[in-house]
Amino acid sequence: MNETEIKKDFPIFKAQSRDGAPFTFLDSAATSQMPQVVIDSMLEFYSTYKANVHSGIYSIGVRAVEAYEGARRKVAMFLGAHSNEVIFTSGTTASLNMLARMLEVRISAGDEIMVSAMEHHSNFIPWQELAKRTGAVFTVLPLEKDGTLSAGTIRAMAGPRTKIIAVTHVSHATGSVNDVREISSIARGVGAFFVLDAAQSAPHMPIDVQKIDCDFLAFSGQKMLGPTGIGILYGKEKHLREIAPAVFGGGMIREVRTDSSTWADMPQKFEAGTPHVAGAIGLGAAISYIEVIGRAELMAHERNLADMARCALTNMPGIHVYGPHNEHETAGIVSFTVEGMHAHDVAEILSRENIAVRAGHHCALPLMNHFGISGTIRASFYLYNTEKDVERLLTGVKKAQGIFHA
Amino acid sequence: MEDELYKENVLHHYRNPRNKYALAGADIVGKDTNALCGDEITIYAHVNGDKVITTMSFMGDGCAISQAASSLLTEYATGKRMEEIQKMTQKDMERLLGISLSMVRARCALLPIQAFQHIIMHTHREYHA
Repeated sequence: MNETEIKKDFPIFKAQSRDGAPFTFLDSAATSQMPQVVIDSMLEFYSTYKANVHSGIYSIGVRAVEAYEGARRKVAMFLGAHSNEVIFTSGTTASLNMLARMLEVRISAGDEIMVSAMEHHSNFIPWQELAKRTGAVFTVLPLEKDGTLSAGTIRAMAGPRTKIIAVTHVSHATGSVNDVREISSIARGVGAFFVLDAAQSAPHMPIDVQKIDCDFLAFSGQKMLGPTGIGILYGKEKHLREIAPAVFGGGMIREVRTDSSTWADMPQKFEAGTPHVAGAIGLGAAISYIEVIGRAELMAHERNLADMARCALTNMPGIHVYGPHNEHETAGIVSFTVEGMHAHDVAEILSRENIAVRAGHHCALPLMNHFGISGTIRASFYLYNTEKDVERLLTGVKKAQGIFHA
Repeated sequence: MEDELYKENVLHHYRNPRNKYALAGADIVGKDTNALCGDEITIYAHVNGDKVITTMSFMGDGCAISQAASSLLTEYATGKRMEEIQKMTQKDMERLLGISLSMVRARCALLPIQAFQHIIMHTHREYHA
């Protein structure tokens, strides 16, 4: 993998570089940058064949449908799924909220919905609200001291009342990787739906929904070289066939009468309204770009950079690194705090060095409470990052310490 | 470049905040949270019958900007009318801090003002703005 060459594919690095300070983007866990080929694929749709995917008998309408469904096939292959198991949404948050509504009829008072304390708010609140609406028990799985989730904890706590286990594949705040095969076998054992938040894993590591054996899975295009506003909800065919849609409108019906209506086949019945066609096309192009390199290669590269940063930061005075310290248990994310400095002040000083990191609670307040802190500085790595980026980060952190402790 | 934002005065107030304590028997307590980072500031004040602030203090942890802004505000507010403090703008806070702020960091500087607007406890009804 030649990340210096890869960087050239992404116009933002040229656009944002300043005199003597190249743009060091370390916030891909929030949103990734887009290579020119992805931008071009969307530009081509907008400038030469923009048409709705619901009506087109005319030539560009047909072309738009072909491009949109072609993107769906790419997503399906990317996940090891069937095309009809892939639903386009506006992002992970929309996927999980819609799913919580779809599963509402399956939940009764006294049932249990389980999430972990490391979840992003988007895989936490929709389930908390579902529990409130249905009278189900909302259980938050506690974490180990280092912020990891032990499968043993889930095994001990899940039981016959457990109907949904919703956990993340990779923690967006610490990079900790969960044992999803083990969790799926626990869910299988108690007869619960296993919902996997793959927002931080799908962009970075090989995913096979058959091997993982999850019932549902969600992720976003914008974190994997695609545009904002496009995301995926995967569901097993046997579930999607039976589950009723939660959003209604055009493009999802079979028959509409004044007394009641019936739905189109899956996945169309879950895609009411005009979808983000350009976004789906962009996501398809992003998948093609990623597949040329290979996700195993990506993961190795990102882990290497994160490990380099983690080791160096751990050895620096006044720095606390959160999350597991074994590189094989983590993805390309490093979360840390600087003694005597608020995370925002560190991020501000890094920004002046043209280094972009995320600072704050990362929409993971239960996890921050677990660590007993208000927030961290998070550096997240992707295919376009280099060892030089890590060196700049370390230099920037030292500079920040110098300014505040001088 | 960083000197522009983290001027010695700002860092000095961050390291040695003035009036950082819970004011006993406060007439007014206001509190607000910066939704962006979750930082929370509580403002305490003694106010006389003319709605003039006689003492102001604050509590809460946060970034250098919100801490320095709170510290400076408690000094600045003494002897001023409540209403005048509650109406302070980004420009006013920039003047107090001696720095200019981006839209994102302006929220940090305005947090103590917002806390003083969101009154959660007051001894007399007329203290409400």
